Amino acid sequence: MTRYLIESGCYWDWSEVSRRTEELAADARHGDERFLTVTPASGFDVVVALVAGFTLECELVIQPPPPYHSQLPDRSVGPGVWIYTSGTTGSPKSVHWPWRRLFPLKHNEVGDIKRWGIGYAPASFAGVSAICQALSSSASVEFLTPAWPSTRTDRHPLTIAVGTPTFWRMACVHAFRGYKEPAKIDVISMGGEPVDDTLLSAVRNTFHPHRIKQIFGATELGAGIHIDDERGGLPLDAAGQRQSSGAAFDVLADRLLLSPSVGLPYVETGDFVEIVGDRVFVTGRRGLSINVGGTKVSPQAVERVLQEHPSVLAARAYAWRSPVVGSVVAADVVLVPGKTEDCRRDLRAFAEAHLAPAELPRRIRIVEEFVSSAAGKVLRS
Amino acid sequence: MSNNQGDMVIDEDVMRRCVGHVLPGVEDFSGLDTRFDEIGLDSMLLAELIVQLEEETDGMLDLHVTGRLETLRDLMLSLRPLREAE
Repeated sequence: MTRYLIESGCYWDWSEVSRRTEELAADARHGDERFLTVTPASGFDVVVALVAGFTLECELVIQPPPPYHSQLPDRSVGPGVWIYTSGTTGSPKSVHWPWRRLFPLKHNEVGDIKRWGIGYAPASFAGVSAICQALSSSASVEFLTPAWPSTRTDRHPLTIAVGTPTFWRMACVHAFRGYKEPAKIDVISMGGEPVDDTLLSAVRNTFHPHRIKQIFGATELGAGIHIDDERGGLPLDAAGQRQSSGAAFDVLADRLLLSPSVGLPYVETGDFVEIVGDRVFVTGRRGLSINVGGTKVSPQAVERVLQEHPSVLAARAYAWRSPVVGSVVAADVVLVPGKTEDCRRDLRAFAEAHLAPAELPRRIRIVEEFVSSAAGKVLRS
Repeated sequence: MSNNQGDMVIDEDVMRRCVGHVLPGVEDFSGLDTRFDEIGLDSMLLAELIVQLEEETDGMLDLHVTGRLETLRDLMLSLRPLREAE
């Protein structure tokens, strides 16, 4: 079986990836030996840069895509990768990850070559982390767009496919429109945004994976908590308990804390949470709110309620200018395949029953799909 | 019906339709002189009514209040296309 890399319909044999890596490494040796700076235009570029940077044991700086212009690190902190946060709540910030954390030492696995489908933005922390895991096991890599279920021509099954919840919601929509059975996937993993039961059910019924994993973490802290019980949110009884990876979460008042490994302190993730029954749900994020007449509304909390409605597959909430109260909440929703506009009145009643007046979307649009941000997350502007 | 700038913005039929959308069941309000409190139109519902009016008129509206804002007529006369306010 051949190892390969696929992106945007292009197929590269791994020897091509190796050749480009050697070229980049050779160029880098002529420049600053400590830093290798790249502005990748594709997932292929990120793979090449990671392999070259790891081989050279230098500091690889992966610049964020335009319109951001990041400042280069002003100091050397050791071999590793400088990655920039998604900038969801401000300008992207640089975070350094040592190579040993990204490429843990392990033997290449013998037997069938694994196939990784990567739906995260390649230059994001989640994307880089997934690529490094794939490379560590000598896997083939395929970069996926949300439309892949209807456009992918390669019918080979994927060992693991990863992406944001927004990516998976849109993939479900495209799978339905594709009118063909999507390729088999062994494990589906999602992180970077809150996950709810509606999404887990849609992914289960659309792709029939053996396992679905949710990942809670932050670029600054790394991927931390893995949950695979196929329920939205974190299990409350796991708070304060170390996972096998050494990571643990806890809740302080309404805030989510994460400790990446044994001996490291719990750090605020910036997420606000709510405990409902035996689960801990992420309801919002610091710096991400809509000001409705002086009341701060979390768009994520609104989205979670809308997505609990049986007709809604995906929702995004955002501010809509109001001459009366400054802003009101507006929402776009993608309906579960087969549902129609007839559910609009019922959705409104459902929202009224579960949301405060300031949180209630005063404008609801039913749309075919969302455009996601460069980081693969819900675009709220 | 026009506003105080002479622009055709919102007529009574449009207002009636939008009020009916925001407050289902009160389509049969007595007329434009209906007071907000008579039909339970609070500030959030007023904001929603303006969003509805924007949808109906396919444009952004701004509120220019020079006197009282107590009735649907007051509202109608206070609304102008946003571009005029810029």
